[in-house]
Amino acid sequence: MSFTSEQIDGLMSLIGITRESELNCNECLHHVAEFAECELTGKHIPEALEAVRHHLTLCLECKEEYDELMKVLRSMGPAA
Amino acid sequence: MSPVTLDWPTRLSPTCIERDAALVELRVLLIKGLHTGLSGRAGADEGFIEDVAQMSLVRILDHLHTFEGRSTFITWALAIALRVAFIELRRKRWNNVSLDELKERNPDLNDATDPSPDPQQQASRASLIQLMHRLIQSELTPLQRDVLLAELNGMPQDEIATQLGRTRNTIYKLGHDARRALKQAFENAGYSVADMLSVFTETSPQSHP
Repeated sequence: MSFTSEQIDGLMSLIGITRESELNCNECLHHVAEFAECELTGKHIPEALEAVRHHLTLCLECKEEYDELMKVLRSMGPAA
Repeated sequence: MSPVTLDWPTRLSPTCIERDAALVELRVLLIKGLHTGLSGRAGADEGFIEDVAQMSLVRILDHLHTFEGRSTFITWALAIALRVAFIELRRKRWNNVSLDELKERNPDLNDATDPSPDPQQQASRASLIQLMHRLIQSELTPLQRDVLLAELNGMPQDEIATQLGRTRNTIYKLGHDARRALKQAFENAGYSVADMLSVFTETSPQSHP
């Protein structure tokens, strides 16, 4: 099996931000609502939630779901 | 107590007399949110959204005990509904692609072109790519290599998990373990990640997440 140069580039970027401990996708989902509301209201992101931000930089699928969640929350307005 | 003062988890609990009304209300909110979140997505028609709302309600009720009140209930529920929706959309898009097909599709690494005009940068880049390729073969298990290849080709983790008979969390862990192993192997070989990134950032044809 071979990897293309472009894939190696992508992998190198991912390796650069890899941490010893990371949230998995379910753990991200568990915390993402709180993270999204903090982001939406401009509240300080607690240190425990920074792991969500990190997961979202690594996981395109969770990022896609998060982006759409933010879109929905923005459409609902402050009463959401 | 007025019904509107009850919180969502209470209203959705099996013994609450408001449960049926709460389910109807929540379903309406999920459908509205899904319409917004999935607008413009291929395959996300009315029937799909209705099905996803129903599947989401089941999942929300199953996980009601895990809601800790750290966000509003609706935000929590919408996050779950969007997870359900995207799993289904990705499954539709990828269910005809096999991992074996991805392996065959990948061209040889040596065919890759180098975008850097600087010969020294080209040499550094080529050297690191060769090292990376060797480390992928020497440091990773066949399963980790399969997962990495699939991920780098954009195959969703849920689809990889289905094809390999694993869970999405297991797939994430396999990928994470692979990245950690490669990072350690590079450091053992005397390369800092910062140095590697500088070479790839300066010469890479496109950025990656």
